[in-house]
Amino acid sequence: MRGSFFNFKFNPDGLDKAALAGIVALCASIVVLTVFFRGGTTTGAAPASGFRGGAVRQAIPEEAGARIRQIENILNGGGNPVKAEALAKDALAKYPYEAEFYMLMGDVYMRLQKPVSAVAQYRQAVELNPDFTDKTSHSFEGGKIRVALREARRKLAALGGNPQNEGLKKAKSDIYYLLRRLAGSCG
Amino acid sequence: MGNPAADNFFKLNRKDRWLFILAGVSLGVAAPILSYFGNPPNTGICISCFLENIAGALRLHENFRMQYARPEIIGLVLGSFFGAVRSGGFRATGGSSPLLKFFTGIFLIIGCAVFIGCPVKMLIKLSAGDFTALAGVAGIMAGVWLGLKFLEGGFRLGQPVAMPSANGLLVPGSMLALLLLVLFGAPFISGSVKGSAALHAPIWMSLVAGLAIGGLAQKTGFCITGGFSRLFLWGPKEVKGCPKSTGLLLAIGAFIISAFIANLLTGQFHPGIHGQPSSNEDYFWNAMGMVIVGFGSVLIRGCPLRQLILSGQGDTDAGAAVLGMIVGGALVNNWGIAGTPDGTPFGGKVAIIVGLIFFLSVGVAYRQRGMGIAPEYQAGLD
Repeated sequence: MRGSFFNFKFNPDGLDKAALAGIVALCASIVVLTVFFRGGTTTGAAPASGFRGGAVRQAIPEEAGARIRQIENILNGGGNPVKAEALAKDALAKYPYEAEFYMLMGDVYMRLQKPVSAVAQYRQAVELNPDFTDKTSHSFEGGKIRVALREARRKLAALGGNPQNEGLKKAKSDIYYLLRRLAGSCG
Repeated sequence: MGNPAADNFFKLNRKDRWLFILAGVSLGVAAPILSYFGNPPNTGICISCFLENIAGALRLHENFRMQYARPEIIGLVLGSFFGAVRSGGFRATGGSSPLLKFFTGIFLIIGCAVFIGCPVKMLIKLSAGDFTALAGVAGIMAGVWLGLKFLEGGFRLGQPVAMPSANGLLVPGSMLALLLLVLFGAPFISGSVKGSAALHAPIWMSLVAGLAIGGLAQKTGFCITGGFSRLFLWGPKEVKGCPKSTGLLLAIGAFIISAFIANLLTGQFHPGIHGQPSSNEDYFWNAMGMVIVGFGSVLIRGCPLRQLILSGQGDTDAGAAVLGMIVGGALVNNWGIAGTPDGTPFGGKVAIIVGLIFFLSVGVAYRQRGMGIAPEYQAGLD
């Protein structure tokens, strides 16, 4: 076997040469990708082992829970949305990974008739907790998000503006992302 | 397939023509109906998604949204098995580079996961008005063309040889065992309660659809990449002159048209680019995902669906590819390779490039220079 391996003759033809050039170029592209373009898109990676089937709910600290109820009370009771916004911003600074606060912030912006801002907040919430767009979940908020998306699209259409504007691109990206989330995926 | 009643429709006789059309229509009608009755949108049938689900059900990965022993896959393999046994086509064969097919199976699922769907789902998406799938069509065409270049350049995996029949029963037997475990509620088989795997049509409906499609696909040799590859072989001459080429393209056409009509009738046709199910805007990487699917499928003689069908009719090499695809289904979830509505993750991009390097290396290493298309491919370029 050893002999046959070392006696291996390789007389590359055109196809071999093209393939080898492709392999070298692809190896180089991995290096370029790793060095310059790492990061960006969130992965569909599985959460930590042990968190299965929705049976376990992430614990919300008691203080955060109280803050959520406080903001909900303001919004549901017809209170001042500006005050609710201040409370939600304060809570987000303290709990930047709590999806519920982004959802509430989106609700606040909807109350303030800022649907584009609301959509950006809903996107943050969904990125942290995909259950908000999962119709098989008890946390599904599709109806609310769809209303915000409709309003945001209407507002963007009314505003017009330069399609190359970064703010406009970001707003559209948020809208399309949430539409895809609501449409569902096999991943 | 003989040609006793050839008429003016190229060289395909009337009976076979209808068989190919029926195979395409069965897939085209079943997929939207399964979606209508509970499967995820545009995912009535998706070999890669469903194999990921099965990998999750077997707890090979921990993505709790992707765990369900999809009866469609079980039905496809068993339908092929019963069809082959009935027609006398069941033959246990093997020895045609099974380990390579195992690794190819892994990369096929990686490509599909980045695109978010297999070639079957790509056409379902297209027929439901998701024009982002066109990137996948371009990619798979490029991949098939690339694969054919190596085939024409003497690529060969070795002639499969006959094996004891029991070998051919392993994959159908495993699928039957999985079905029984699901039906009897084995505690170690996971089932998602939320996420896409929690969305499913009734088990009996999925199983019947799988059995019917599996039987017809076995009878006709239905294969998406096989059909596309025929367009590149000798162009219109090949399509016109070879009954199987005509039949495969007829089946793919029937599939797309019937899926379009079924989607339209069930209110699942939503034309557009933005906000489509199982999509994102990384068109380049979506196309690249399908490039490796097309490339790999041509090298191992069949798309993921065809590998399932072949494994059902006794091809143990295809069985190795199916096992590879299940392992691939676990890896894409554990390593965060799969595409998401946000785009293609970094790991997915690297995996695609590694897949291309793998297939190019395999293409070079498995060639017999100066030779043409290997006999096993000529016998039926699946």
